[in-house]
Amino acid sequence: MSPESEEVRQGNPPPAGPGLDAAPPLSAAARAEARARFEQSITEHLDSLYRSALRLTRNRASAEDLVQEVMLKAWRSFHTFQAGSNVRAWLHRILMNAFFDNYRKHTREPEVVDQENVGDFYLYEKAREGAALSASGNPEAEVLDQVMDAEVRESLEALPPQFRAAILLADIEGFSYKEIAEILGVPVGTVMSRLSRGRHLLQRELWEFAKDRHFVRGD
Amino acid sequence: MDCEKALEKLWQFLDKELDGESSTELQRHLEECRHCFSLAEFEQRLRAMVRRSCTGEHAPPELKERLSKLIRLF
Repeated sequence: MSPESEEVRQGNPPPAGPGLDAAPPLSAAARAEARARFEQSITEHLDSLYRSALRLTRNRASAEDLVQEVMLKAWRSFHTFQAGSNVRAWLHRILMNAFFDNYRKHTREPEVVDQENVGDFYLYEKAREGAALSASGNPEAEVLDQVMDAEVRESLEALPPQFRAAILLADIEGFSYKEIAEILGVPVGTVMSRLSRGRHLLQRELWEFAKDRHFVRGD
Repeated sequence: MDCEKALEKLWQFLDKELDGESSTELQRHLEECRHCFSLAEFEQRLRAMVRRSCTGEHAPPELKERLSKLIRLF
């Protein structure tokens, strides 16, 4: 290919961002520029990606490997990424796809299908039941104070991955229903039912940690 | 808005996904109903707790270094 034709191709739209494999060949300068932009995006969202990976894989080494895999995949399609789009959502989409692909390959467990909704406010109701046994002034609030951060993480990690994914995207990473639907590739209604079911399951797990202390204090 | 309807919409409200009109109605219900208010407050605190428990974690420096090295090869 002549240098002219390369120049022409580079000048052609859509110039959303240069890539590695499928994208038109780049000059050294353009490639360096793309690499710098890419590195900046990765650095900016690395903590968020790592946290999500850690909650999904439940293991530091696997989380690091998953983040690396996400980065390699993201670079390969970086040229298709439109400037101005939501980079964090895009990276999370790649993360979720990579995680669930690996998960399906390595587990024999059947995927949990969405189930009908059950009581949403389990922990609150339990805390109120306990309130009758407690002498303290604000037992519902105390239940929350008694749960340790590590126990919250453990409770979250006990959930089936589909529900865990929905909760971490909504409650920890703060994505909207619409963004979560795009990240997970499911309809918004499914996002809402997974959140509802997931939050219920999470509250049951948290209650397991809270109840002993709660009733001990209520004696 | 009655309690049943309010609780049905509570998560959407807390997730800031409820449209303006329903959101105003639910807000009004919470001002008038002590039970629902206290439940909403509990759920909000619970979510803050879940978020706080996980956002304190950061990517390890070794991972940052490993990724930077890889990016230099791109």
